[in-house]
Amino acid sequence: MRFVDEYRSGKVARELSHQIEKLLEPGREYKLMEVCGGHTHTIYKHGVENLLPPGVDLIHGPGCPVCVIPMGRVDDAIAIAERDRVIFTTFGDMMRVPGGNGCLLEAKARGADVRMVYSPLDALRIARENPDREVVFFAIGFETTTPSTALTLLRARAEGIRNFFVFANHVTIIPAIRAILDSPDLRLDGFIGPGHVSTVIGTGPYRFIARDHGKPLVVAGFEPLDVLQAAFMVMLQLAEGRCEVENQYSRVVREGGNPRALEAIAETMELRSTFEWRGLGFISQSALKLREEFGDWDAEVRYDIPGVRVADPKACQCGEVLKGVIKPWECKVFGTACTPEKPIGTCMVSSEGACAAYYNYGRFSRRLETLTT
Amino acid sequence: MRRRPELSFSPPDPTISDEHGELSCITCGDVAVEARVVALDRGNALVELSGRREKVAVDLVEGVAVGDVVLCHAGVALEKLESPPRELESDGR
Repeated sequence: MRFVDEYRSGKVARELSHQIEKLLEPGREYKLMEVCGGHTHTIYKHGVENLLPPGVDLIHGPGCPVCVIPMGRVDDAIAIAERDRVIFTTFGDMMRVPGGNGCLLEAKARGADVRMVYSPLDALRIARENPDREVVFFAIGFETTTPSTALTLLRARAEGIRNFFVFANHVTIIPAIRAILDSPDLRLDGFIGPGHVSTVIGTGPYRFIARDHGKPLVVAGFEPLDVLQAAFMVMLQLAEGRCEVENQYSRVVREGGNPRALEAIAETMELRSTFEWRGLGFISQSALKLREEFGDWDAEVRYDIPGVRVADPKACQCGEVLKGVIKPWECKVFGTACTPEKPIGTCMVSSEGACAAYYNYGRFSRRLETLTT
Repeated sequence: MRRRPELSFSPPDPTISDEHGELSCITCGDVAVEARVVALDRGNALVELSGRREKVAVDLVEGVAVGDVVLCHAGVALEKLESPPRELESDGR
């Protein structure tokens, strides 16, 4: 198939796999974390895990923005959505994320005006077209998505649109990686770094991982060969006793990131003192809120937000999955009580989530493995 | 007739499969797609991938010109590719 073949060649994959095998130290176990949910998806979709030699284990990180939203914030979103005159707009996969009182899709069924959008700019258009309504955008995502919210706020201000509000839940990747590195129950050898987040933030912010923690990190693209090559680059660093930040995804990612996008974020948003992450708990300075200058567009200023903290269901082990302490299929409810059709935990909702990726592709690859051995 | 693939910055519902039967959810994850600019209009670009066209904002990328390949996410171009993949040089599939 054109357009993808050059990043999916089986021959090159086998060669890379062979080269990784040659780098192994006998008896050593390697644990590499792919931080980004997009990589988790690629790994399972294409069976990249099966191409790695025994002893090299991929641990799935917290980089799925849907998966890290705590249940309380979903309840807050529903509370806003159920207000009179509000049109609540959200990305599709947030619709089914369960809060303490059901999900947005259920709120919609009860009569709330909840609409799925592809971009915050679509939400702004809805606001423009419905001047007698209040349009709220449920802003979630890492640094890949934050620029689109920032740009939308700048346009809302430039156009003087006053019936558009942002419920900001944007998170930042670096504090999450820091929390994982500080976590006592996890030993990692290196990282496969997020690709498109790095398009925005560049490769510089990862330097502390190599410098202070002595772990290599390789920023990777999203095709299977990108991920495999990044795994090889991490393994090569380990074999040569180096720990550096390298960029496998240089066709898109620049060292300094995208200065314009960073400026737009800085102009519209600032760090919160703390924010709750599902599974990781409260992490200081890990999320963004709107700046005071944008208070007129801030849903948290406009509405009374309940802000109640909701504990995760006892059966759900999303937290351990997000930290890579357990594999998705080791969770007690995986594939039985918790499925993509009826998720209990967020990791099963988004296809970027480790559980959903495993559910959709993992079994298949395990069966293949059985057949070929 | 074969259905043209959706541009992935228009995220489908996660329960919808694409033409390869793959579940795709590009909403807010760290996923973006490359598409070629075919027209420009005050901060917005019309981009095309595999014959389908969509409007994206290009305010955040410097010096976007018609013919460039940009990386798009949630209706916004995030970066310009320095050396676009060969496949995008031709007219889709």
